Amino acid sequence: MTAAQQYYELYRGSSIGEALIDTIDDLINDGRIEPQLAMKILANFDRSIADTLAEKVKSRLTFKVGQTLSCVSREILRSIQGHLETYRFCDDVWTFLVKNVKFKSDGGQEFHADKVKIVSCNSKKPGEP
Amino acid sequence: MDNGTAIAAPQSVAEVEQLIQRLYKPGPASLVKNINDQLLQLQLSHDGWKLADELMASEDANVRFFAALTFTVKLNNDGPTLDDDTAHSVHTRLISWLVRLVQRGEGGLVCKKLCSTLTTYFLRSPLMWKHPLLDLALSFHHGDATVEGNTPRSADEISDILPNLNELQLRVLLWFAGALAEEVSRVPANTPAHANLHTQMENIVKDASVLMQWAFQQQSTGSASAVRAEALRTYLTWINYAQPVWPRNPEALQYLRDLINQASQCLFDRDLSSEALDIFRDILESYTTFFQAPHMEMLAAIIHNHIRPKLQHTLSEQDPDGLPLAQLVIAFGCANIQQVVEQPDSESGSWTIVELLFDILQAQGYPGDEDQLSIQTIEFWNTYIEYVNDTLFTDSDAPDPSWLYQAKDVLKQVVELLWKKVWTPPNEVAKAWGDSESEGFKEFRGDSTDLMLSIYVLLGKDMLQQLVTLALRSLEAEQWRGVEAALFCLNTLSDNVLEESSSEDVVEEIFRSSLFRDVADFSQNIPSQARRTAIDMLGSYGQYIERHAEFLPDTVRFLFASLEMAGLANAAAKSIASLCSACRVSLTTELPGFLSQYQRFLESKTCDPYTKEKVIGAIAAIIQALSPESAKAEPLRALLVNIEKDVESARQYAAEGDLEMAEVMGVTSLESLASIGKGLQVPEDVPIDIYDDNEEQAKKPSYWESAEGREAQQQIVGCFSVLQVVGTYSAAIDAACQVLRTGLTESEPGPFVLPTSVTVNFVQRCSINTPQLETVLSTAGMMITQHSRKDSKRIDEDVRSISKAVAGFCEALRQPDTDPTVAAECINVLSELMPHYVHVLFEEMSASTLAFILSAVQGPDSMPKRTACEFWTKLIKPQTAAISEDAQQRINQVMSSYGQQLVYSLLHQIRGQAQRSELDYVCEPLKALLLHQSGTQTWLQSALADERFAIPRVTMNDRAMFLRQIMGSRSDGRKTKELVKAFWAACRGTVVSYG
Repeated sequence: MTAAQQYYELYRGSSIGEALIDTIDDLINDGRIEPQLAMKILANFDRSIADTLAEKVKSRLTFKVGQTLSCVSREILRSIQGHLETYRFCDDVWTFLVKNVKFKSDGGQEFHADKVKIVSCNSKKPGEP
Repeated sequence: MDNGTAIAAPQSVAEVEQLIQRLYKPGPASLVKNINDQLLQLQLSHDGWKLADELMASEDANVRFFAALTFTVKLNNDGPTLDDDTAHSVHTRLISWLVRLVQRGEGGLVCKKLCSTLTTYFLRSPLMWKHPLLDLALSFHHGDATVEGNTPRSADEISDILPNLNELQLRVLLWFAGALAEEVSRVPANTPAHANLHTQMENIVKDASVLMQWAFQQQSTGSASAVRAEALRTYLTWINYAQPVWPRNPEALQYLRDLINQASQCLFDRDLSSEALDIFRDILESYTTFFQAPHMEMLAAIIHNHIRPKLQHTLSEQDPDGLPLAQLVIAFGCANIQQVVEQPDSESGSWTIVELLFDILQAQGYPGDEDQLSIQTIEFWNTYIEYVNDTLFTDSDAPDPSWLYQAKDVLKQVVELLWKKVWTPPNEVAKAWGDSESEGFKEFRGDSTDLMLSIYVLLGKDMLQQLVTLALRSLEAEQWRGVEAALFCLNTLSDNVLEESSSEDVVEEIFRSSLFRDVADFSQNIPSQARRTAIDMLGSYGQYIERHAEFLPDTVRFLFASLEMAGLANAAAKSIASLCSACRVSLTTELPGFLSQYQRFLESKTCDPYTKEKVIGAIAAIIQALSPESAKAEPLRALLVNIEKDVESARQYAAEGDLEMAEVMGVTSLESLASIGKGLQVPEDVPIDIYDDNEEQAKKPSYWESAEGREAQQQIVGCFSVLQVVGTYSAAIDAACQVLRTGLTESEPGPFVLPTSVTVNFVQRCSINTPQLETVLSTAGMMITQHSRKDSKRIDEDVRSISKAVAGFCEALRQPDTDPTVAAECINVLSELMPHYVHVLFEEMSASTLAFILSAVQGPDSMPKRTACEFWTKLIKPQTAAISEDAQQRINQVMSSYGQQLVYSLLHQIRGQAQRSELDYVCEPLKALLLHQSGTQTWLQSALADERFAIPRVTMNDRAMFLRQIMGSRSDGRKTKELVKAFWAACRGTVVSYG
């Protein structure tokens, strides 16, 4: 019933996406599927992972960074006050390169990362308000 | 193996029919497969067309379905190569069959399949079919196939025919229209080969819209209702088709937009309203721009006049049928969020939406239980606040918009409604809940507080005051569930509230109230959940309490008292840990009292491994704040005595043969020790006095290096003896590593900054059968990294011992695939020796160890392959610190001995053995070789010419070309990667990328 939607391919670069692509490669290599089918499988993956992450994943993670930017939405800044090294906005995609980040998970557990890249894509399709 | 289910080839049409009938009956999988294989052979045979035609006349619907399927299979396989006459004949036969079957009242199964077959004809035939809907309508009208080919016709013609068709014929036409849109939507729109099909659709939509318009006009009662229902489904399919294909084709889209009004009438149809609600919601959510301003106005009016009273009625009745109504309202609100926010006075477009969403939150029932609607509203309010925040903060210099006051007012109401909705249920209700209800309610609470965080960005202190007032008002009225809900919300906001010191006076109202006195009075009948949330608050607002030391002693005493209450212990332990960590400096005077409270707690029933570990870590954090360092020794040793008691109990249990309890006590002792270590770590935010340049002070040995300090450290090391009892358990090894790591991350000497020999001994006592050996190795790697820093002390002897042990593990493993995780960590430790311990590396590195690392590059496992590639890359590249001439010579020797083998291993991966995801790592040593090893070209040439490299897909010329290109790319790492990926894809016979 759902209307046709375009989905980003960015999750293909995640561990689960890479594992799927490796498996698809093996299937093509063994002559068990054609590359055209692989494209369809990956298109399904793009849709399913985006929908599943949006609908099913309920755990939350907060982090603190620093350095205020006037052009970034305040909502993002709510949790940002540390070492935001670089940010850019290109083709409707925000990218933040953040250093020395402290994450706090749902259970209050904290962990640290030296470097984090946050890629934030528009969940609305091009042309949508 | 056929298991006796072999199928003989059928000899007549009757036998084929029997076979098909058997296919659709239950039977063993092997039989079904064999029948299917036989039938597939027939379908693909030259006589497939004839067979399909003959089967179509069968009395059995399953056989007729199979006949349509056979036509589809034939069209898919032979369609594009058919000559014009055959194509025309097939076309006529298909339409003729459909017309005749519909005349006989054929069921949906076969008719839908034939519609799908006709669509396959449309897609695969060499003849263009310009007017499929018109032709089928005419054929129905004339009672047999009427295919006019490509002769031009007026689009109005179909409107003359439709009134003459019966309901089944109309439904079949709609099925066909839907199948066309669905199947063509799967054809790429951006390739020239398929562009023509999509151009045809721009014409077909004219007939399709006339057809749907006629269908929507049918009566909404009796069997004609089915025609309207089908029209609704076909309509959505066409909209789905149009969305990606016609974003810049308003003329074609207009045919579909013209139907919005008629389609919306289905919202009033008793039989169709549920489906219509779903369809309109779907379009609003995923294709908002399909609706233009007049359409939105019309929908707003429908919501105001028609949906609002129905939704309000279902809310008052707690009727679950309200769900699709609410979902449509929410979708409409989200799609028109700008209007809802900026024109709050527009009655139907804005206020009705906000009012209905308030009504939903005000309705009776608990979210996750009987209230299924409130959770849905969160999405709308998130969109609302996101829009407000985006608009306001994009240009912070702009004056406040006129609608801001009303938006704030709306959001304040939302906060209060959410507060009321997150009240926990009374016991009698909660007891009747299953997991699903509890989870649903918990999810709603989480989503609500997330939303509140976003609202707090806008409302700030006003919202804090609102929640504090709600809490205090409930406290006064002794409505403990109300108090709990407000505290729960306040806890979520704590991080943000604590950032603004101006909010402290508001928080103070809570701490000055009777709240904590009341909850600490265990004689009062207060729900435990309220007590738990109050305890959580003390943890969440630890920084506030730290700044207001007057609240601290009572707070901690209350927490220690709660620690002994069943049901509160875990929350209390967690808050004690967080509060003591935050307020360590202010609590040092209370330390003796806490130590004795801890002793009492150890005797209580609520003392378990979790609470014990949390509380002992909390006390350790207070000890950390003592000054000078020597003052820490005595209380630390007092804590260690408790660990030693656990170690002793573990030993006793083991001696008595109770291994289960021995494990529990042993692991607890080590985990508690790690918790003490963590508590004693110097906090990251300790101020550094940059003017304190006292070199004398710096040179002075630390207390922990003195005999007295060493004694305390010995006591810590002594606890490791428990590993003699529990050393075969993963959890124990993990915990022991955790103890060592707490010291490794410290930059100054401390009680847990143990002599490096402790880690070395620990590694030396391990064998490849030690559980969690990878954790032990990674701890050793961490120690080497710490001692590789610029100003850190070099530990050649210890590193030498670790290298020896690691080389021993590699030898014992023989091959990396024996245990890929351990192998990867072994290689990683050896990698860490570069550059500062590179001399040690070559002292201890035997030929077999190098061969082990080389075989990891060539092996099937990703982890060792990755670390081995990193090892070789580090070795090939110039070392990043000065190394001795001797060491450099050894590196050169290794490269001249192993360079050829390494190149062969890398090429083996690139020729197709590596997975696509591994190529990035495999490229790194190759890039380093190209840049830094002069013999690389010869090695590559020799490896590419090797017979073992031969694969049919890649010729000698291809290999020579690859060599030329890769050598040319030596200074361009990105180019090297691209070439490697292209060559890998060519060797594998696959695509370079799926993007």
